[in-house]
Amino acid sequence: MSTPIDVWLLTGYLGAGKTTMLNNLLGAEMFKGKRVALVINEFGQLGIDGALVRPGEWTKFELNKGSLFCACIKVDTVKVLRQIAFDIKPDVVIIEATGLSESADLEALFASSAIEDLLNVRANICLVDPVTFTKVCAFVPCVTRQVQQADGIVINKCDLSDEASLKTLTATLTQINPRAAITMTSFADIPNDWLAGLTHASGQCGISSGPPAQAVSVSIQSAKPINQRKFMAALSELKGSILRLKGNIDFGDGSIMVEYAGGELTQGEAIKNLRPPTAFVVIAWGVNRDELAEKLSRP
Amino acid sequence: MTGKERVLKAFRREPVDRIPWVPFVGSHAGALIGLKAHEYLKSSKHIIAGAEEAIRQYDPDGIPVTFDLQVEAEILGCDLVWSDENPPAVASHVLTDSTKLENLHIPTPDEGRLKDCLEAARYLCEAHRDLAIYGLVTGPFTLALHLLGTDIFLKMYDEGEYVSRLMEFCQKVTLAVSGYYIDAGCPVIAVVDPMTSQIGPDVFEQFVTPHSTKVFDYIRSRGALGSFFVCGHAQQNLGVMCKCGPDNICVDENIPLAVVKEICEKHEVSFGGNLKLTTVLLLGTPQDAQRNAISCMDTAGDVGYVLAPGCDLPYAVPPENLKAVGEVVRDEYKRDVARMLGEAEQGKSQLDMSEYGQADKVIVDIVTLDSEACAPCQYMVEAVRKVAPEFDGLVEWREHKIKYRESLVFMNALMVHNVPTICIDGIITFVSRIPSRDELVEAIQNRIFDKVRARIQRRRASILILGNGDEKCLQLQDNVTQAIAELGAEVDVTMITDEAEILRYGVSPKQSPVAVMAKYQVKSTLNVPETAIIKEWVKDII
Repeated sequence: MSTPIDVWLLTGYLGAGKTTMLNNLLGAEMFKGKRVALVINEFGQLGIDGALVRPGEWTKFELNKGSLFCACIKVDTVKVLRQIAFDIKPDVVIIEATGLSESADLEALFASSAIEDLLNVRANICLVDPVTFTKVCAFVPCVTRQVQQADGIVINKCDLSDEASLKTLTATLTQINPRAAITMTSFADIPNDWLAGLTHASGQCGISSGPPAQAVSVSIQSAKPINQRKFMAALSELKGSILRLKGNIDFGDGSIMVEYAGGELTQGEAIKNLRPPTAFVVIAWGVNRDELAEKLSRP
Repeated sequence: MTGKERVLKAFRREPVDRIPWVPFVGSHAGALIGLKAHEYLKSSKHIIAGAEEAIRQYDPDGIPVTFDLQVEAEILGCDLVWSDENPPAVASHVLTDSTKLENLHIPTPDEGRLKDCLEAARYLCEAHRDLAIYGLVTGPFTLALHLLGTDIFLKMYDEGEYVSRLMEFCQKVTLAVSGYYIDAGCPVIAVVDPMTSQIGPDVFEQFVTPHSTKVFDYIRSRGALGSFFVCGHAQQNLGVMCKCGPDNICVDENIPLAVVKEICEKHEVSFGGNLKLTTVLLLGTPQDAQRNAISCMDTAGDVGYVLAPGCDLPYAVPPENLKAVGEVVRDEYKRDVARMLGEAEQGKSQLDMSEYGQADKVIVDIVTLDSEACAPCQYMVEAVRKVAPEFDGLVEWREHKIKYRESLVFMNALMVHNVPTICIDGIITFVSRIPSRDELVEAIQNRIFDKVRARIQRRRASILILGNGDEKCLQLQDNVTQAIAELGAEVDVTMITDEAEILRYGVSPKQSPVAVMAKYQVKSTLNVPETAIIKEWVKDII
């Protein structure tokens, strides 16, 4: 039995920069001169990611049937991985997971008897786009679970975020996964030694058992005006927990648009089509929903 | 009781003569009639032929007209990519280009492939009045994802109001298409909304509940029954799904059936599904399929359960596997046989263990979760790894990580209940406690002594004296007996005088007296060793 082939697993929500990172990896020092096989597992964007991969000497597999059904994807994935191990026999496999993949399912696949002797996960890297992550984490739970399962977390597109937002985000990510190494970058540019230093933990031992705290989204609507002083006080009290807030608020002088991100509250002209006068969404981490709703809607 | 009555009674949680069986045959029907998925799904003629063939081969209580969640999206302008062995996939989302939500229309019954599906529905309901023909419709959330793509998740935050309007539209589509299938004669409407497994219960209640509730209310008002299909990790949403008012909830193998049963019974909703699509139905044997079906039926109980796979059957499912499921559903005797065979197989694996530990080497097995991820497991493996070389090749050790199925089987066969555990030659020796170097060395040494002792005890020998029984023969017998007594050995002495018998030892009676020595060794007991193993024994004596 030959040694299992190293697999680098790239996860992260859609648009986090997985394909850019894949391209960077293909040019990285540690993969120079190696035979690489790529598996690109897309969701809902047929052929797009595959087309963005830089041309070169790699064998590329696209699992882009776009199947909605997990079982179909599983069959195809096992088929492709076994084909790679038996026919292609590369030095390294890089897998770009779908933005909606369940990392734990992927890991389980590598632990299954069909795969385990053939391929070995070298590291599971999760990319995070600060803007998107804080918007979708409360709506799509798998995004949080991808972070939870990672060996290394790349906070990407940092050039588009301010320092305060990044600080809140880093604190949140550390809470979700205290074990993972975190690096900040833009354009998915990752230093070699950070990559080389990652170690894979299978995470199946039940050590990190217990569900993580939840990201919650609360939609607050009110016909009555909101007390501005109480609202601002609640906002500063909950500062470390609130990832985002956006919508219309009526402080007594008619609706205005408010948006909160990275500790800053900006105001503007009311968003049209929103009823009643106060209607906003807040996304927070580790706070009780009812408490959040109550504190931010005091008349 | 007809299949249709059985399904409807199960949906209403009324007693049935037996659990109904509904294989969700979609593109698999194409395989049954020798067509690719894209050929089968594009014509009412093929859909009918495929369903007829599935009914003929599987003798089910109910069956869907077909299984394709892209029919509505295609009519609304999404491009599809077709494949040979899968339903089509949505390749472009109509609302991400210039198309506006306001410009989308509710599909009419004579549009696109909906026309073919409804034609097939009308035919099948008429031709098979005794079967529950399921009309399959795309659920509002999955349809919304087809129309808008994954942008929908960002828009939930950025434009929640738009997402609500989109869901409202999709609900109207789902509701209309449900109505068409009811018009065609379908007694059951399956609202298939797999994408809801991507969201949590809060978001579900906000964006899905209001719309799904309307769909199920409508289905009920038309006198039909509604099933809510979901697949994937949707456990968190079962409660809120029940609250939408379906008559039945159908799940795949990702949710434990006992959990589904508990939640659904609390909400007085029937349930179904859970047969393993990939590992059992597609990749397993007919026996695996039967065992899986029996375990589903045993867990679910007789009331309010429909045996089914959790989702669209894979194209290439071996028909034998589905036929085998049907057998154990319909025939109590076959169910008992399958159950017995399962038990016998388990027993066999335990019997095999009696051979265990008979090898010359001492085998040390360490049962762990995974030594790379679990500290106690790691220390236990290290303890053995350090000690083993001291025995100079006499000791063989291996780790069994119970995250793998084979290891789990092994663990059960050895009757190990705790992890980590060290077994020496199949005997549980250290449980959950890492032994010191000296304890481990002692335990292994004791086992080596046991083996030496056993080997000596297993040896038996005879000395035969062949001859005519004269003076010389008697003298020889005396000498042999004397020698044995002086050595304190256990050897039988037998005198053989029958000439025919003497000839069988390859000597002539004229050569009297003859001494023949035979050594016996017990090689196996209670079981029948393989020829390959027996060959190894024979090599020792030739």
